[in-house]
Amino acid sequence: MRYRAVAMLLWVGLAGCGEGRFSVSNTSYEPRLVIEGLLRPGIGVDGIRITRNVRVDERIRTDDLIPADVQAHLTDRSNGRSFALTLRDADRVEDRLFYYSGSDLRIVPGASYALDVSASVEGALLRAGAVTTVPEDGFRIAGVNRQAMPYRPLDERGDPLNFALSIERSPSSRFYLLTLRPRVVTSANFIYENSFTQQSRQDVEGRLDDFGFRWDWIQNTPRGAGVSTIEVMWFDLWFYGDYDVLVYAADDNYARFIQTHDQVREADGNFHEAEFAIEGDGIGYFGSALVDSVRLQVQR
Amino acid sequence: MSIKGVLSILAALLICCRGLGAEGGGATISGFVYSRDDGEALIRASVSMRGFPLGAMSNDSGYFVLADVPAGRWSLVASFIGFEDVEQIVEVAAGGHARVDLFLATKALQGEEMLVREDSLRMADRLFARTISTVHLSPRHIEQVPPFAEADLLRSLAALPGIVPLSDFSSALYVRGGTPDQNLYLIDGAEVYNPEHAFGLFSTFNTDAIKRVELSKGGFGAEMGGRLSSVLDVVNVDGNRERFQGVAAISLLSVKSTLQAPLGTRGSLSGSLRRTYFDQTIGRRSDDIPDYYFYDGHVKAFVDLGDADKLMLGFFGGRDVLDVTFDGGARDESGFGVAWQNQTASARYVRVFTPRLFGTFALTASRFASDFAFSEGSLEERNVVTDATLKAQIQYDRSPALRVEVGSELKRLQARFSQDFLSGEIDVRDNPTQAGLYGLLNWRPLGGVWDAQGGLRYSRYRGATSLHHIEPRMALKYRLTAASMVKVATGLYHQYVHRVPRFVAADIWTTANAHQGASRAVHYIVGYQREWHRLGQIEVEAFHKRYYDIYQFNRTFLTDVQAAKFDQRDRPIIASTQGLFHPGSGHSSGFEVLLRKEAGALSGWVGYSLARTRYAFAGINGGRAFSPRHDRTSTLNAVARIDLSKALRGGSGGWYFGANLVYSTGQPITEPGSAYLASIAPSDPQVSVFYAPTRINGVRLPAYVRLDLSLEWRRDFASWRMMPYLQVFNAGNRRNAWFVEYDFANSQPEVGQVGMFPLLPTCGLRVEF
Repeated sequence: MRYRAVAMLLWVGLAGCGEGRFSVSNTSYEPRLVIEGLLRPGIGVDGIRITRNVRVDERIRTDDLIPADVQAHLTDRSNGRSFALTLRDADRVEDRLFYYSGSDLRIVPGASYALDVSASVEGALLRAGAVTTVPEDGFRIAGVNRQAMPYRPLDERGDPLNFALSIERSPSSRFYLLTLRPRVVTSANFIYENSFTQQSRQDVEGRLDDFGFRWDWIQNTPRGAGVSTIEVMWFDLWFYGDYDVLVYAADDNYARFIQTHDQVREADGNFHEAEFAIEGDGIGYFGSALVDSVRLQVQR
Repeated sequence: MSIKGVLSILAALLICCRGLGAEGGGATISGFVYSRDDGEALIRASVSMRGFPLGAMSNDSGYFVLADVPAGRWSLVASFIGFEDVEQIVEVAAGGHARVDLFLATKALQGEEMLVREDSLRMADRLFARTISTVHLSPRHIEQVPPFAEADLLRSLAALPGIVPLSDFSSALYVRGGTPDQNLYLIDGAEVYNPEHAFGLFSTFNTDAIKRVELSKGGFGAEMGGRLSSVLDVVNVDGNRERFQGVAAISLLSVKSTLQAPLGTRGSLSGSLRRTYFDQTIGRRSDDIPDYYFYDGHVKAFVDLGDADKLMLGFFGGRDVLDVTFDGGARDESGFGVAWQNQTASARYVRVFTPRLFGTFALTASRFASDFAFSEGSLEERNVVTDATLKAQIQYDRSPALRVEVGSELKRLQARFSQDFLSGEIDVRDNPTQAGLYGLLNWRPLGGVWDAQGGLRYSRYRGATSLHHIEPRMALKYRLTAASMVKVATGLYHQYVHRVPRFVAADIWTTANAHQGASRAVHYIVGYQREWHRLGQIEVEAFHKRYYDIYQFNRTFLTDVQAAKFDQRDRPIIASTQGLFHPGSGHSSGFEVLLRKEAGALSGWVGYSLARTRYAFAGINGGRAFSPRHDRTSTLNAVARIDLSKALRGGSGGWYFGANLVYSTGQPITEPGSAYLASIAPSDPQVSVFYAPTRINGVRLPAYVRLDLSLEWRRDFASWRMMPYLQVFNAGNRRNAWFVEYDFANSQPEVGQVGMFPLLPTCGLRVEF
């Protein structure tokens, strides 16, 4: 009895020690075609990226990201004509994009286009497709409250003052993405006197890419034409100097990607699905948007 | 059902009380069972007649009734765990009534409140009296589990089979596969909506202020409604009616005190206060520690208005405050503040209309509010849930074999969630009324072999949508032998509120509407219980629970929410919960074993549960069924408390050693499945790595194992007692996995696991006077 008690105590003690080691099972892995395509009126079909996904416990080999046998076709649904897309060769895989070189394909506001892609990945033939309807014309950046201002000025109530862009809405778009890109991204023009974090010049030099591109959006804007406001939040400004600010009046496909693609991790660390408006074996987005831009300046 | 309708029913109940009271033959013996030491009413105390097969259990007010007693001189025996039996002679004439209040004294042995003497009521009788799947806990039971920094009710309950927490960082309970929003939390009869402090680390229940806890893990009777999975009914101490009494304690987390005192000669008063203090100590010295504190407390008064009338007034309140300031530079600082609070108030009046007719009437109110504000006014949020509830219950003992209970409940609920942010506004509100009417028949034929209870509850909900349901409930107990019994229960349950779980800020409650209706569950439970060596118990239960129309928070709700209107700046105002939840269904099945020993040098329990829960929601996992994160195939809990003095020397008191071992199958988690490279927009100069999970909770984390230890020393003085203690949470310093981190650095994968709490020693001092 005494030995049994001792043995039990030892077991209890040992059981409560150590480490439960998790190993990636990859049982959840399913090969997919990754599509990044945004059609914009006035710009030809010039930048559709088609790659494949990778396992989470394997090195990303960029040379293998684009399947060798990708077949991509864009169809103008207004007339049913289909256009084969061609891969543009480039040194960097990021720059190897599918395009259509002919002049007989125009991206027009209000029109619908379908993308169909097929390729072999790990011996399996994958197919993916999506249809986008380009937002109707009428969108533009109508004005900005100020073209230049110091970093985080305060208004009379003590609240920070933001750049505010007035936009004339597209009648068919209810989602507007704003991207913010400083023209000069160096540790010399980094805003060290921010109210979030104290970074040394050395810290910043190793993380410049983390600060060099910011984005935000407004959604659920009223249907139909009208004016909405989209603000450039002060906490998205990390550098002094000029910024290129682009606003995309997006279709539903692109909006879903923007809203969900990087929100797949919950607060307790678990994952959930993003929403991709792509049929078949595809992830990513095939959408369309109207684009306008403005330049802003954060003064020292 | 309107307020007028419910009031009419209440009036009818009162009139019926008068009429019913005249019925019934034979003599009646009735009264209250009290603790002699402090005058507290003893709930579920046993009262039996020596030499005659008639017995009764005291109800929630300590009232008992023995109906149809033959005329004569009888010896009544009252028993209650931790108390000396008391025997009292009573004489009753044919058709007459004798009122007997019984006073039991606690055991004289030091620190042995849990001890049961050989001549006490048999464990089997106590087991038979208990409803299936019900757990009764006293403060001593709660403290038996070595705590994490602070004795905590919800964490102690998680050491019982069928109840699991999600992680070390949460005290929220998942009962038999149900989610925390499916648990009804009551404190002195008032509902508590978010019973958690410190982002879920601790519950709002101060264990020193608790008189009694009853948890039903399922199959609960028709008197309870509005939740699918469980009911946790917490009763705070009424107060010592004999003398001034107090407890003061300090732990590394908080200081607290509970005081009790007589209120004249006919009542008592109790009050408690607890506050964390690290914001005043290390928080002042370190900028890295957020400015956080919570406090809670209660005040409760209990008054005997007469021999047949008692009144209880109670108030409970708690508040958490967190201020976070980001690490600012030369510029002015930014940050956010969040505060949330629970307040409940209850007035409970009980009346003995006739010896066989007992009424309970309660008016309760509850309010939960949370406020969140980001500095500079760019985001403000307010979340408020209030309810006011009127309850009435009549208990009528028609004969020793038949008890009838009828009751009604009317709840006026207000739920509002508002958020004001730069590009829009959320303002969702509803003020529904929830009414319930129920009846219970409890049939216990003489001989005590059978105990059958049938109940029917009618629930009506009227708010943004109107719903009504009839919910049948049934429970059956059969005594196989003097020491063993089987029990079965089944029931239909509806829930009209739904919850958006959040990690940092408090959860948001929404009420049923056109987009989310009522959730429904059906419970099937069968159990076997037997006395084990007279002072112990073995319980085996199997359950199956089906869920219909349950709602899971839609993590990608941004794509589905719709604006109801727009403000003058064309900002959207979202005024409904459309798109906020995925509708679905599910089921839980399980098998639980509990061995419990409540007396002797070694006391505690060993529990094991084998369970499986599956949910299926449109919009999650492609509509395929999956195991939720709280699903655990196997869970083993072993809780032991050893009176070292008694074990080694045969004496009692002095040193106490406690241990709590938990083993459970790892939680299901979602692997990202795969990663991909993408840029946000054509203007994005770089590509980044993103993840594309496709199979929800398809793999499991490694098994969770934790051993907690505690050592307590007691020293008794003439009028007070001192108990310093040392506790070690996760004594083996096992690195239990919380979740897994995935990343790529220079195209190389990096997979690491994030652990839960390591070894954490704490200490404290408790003084009773």
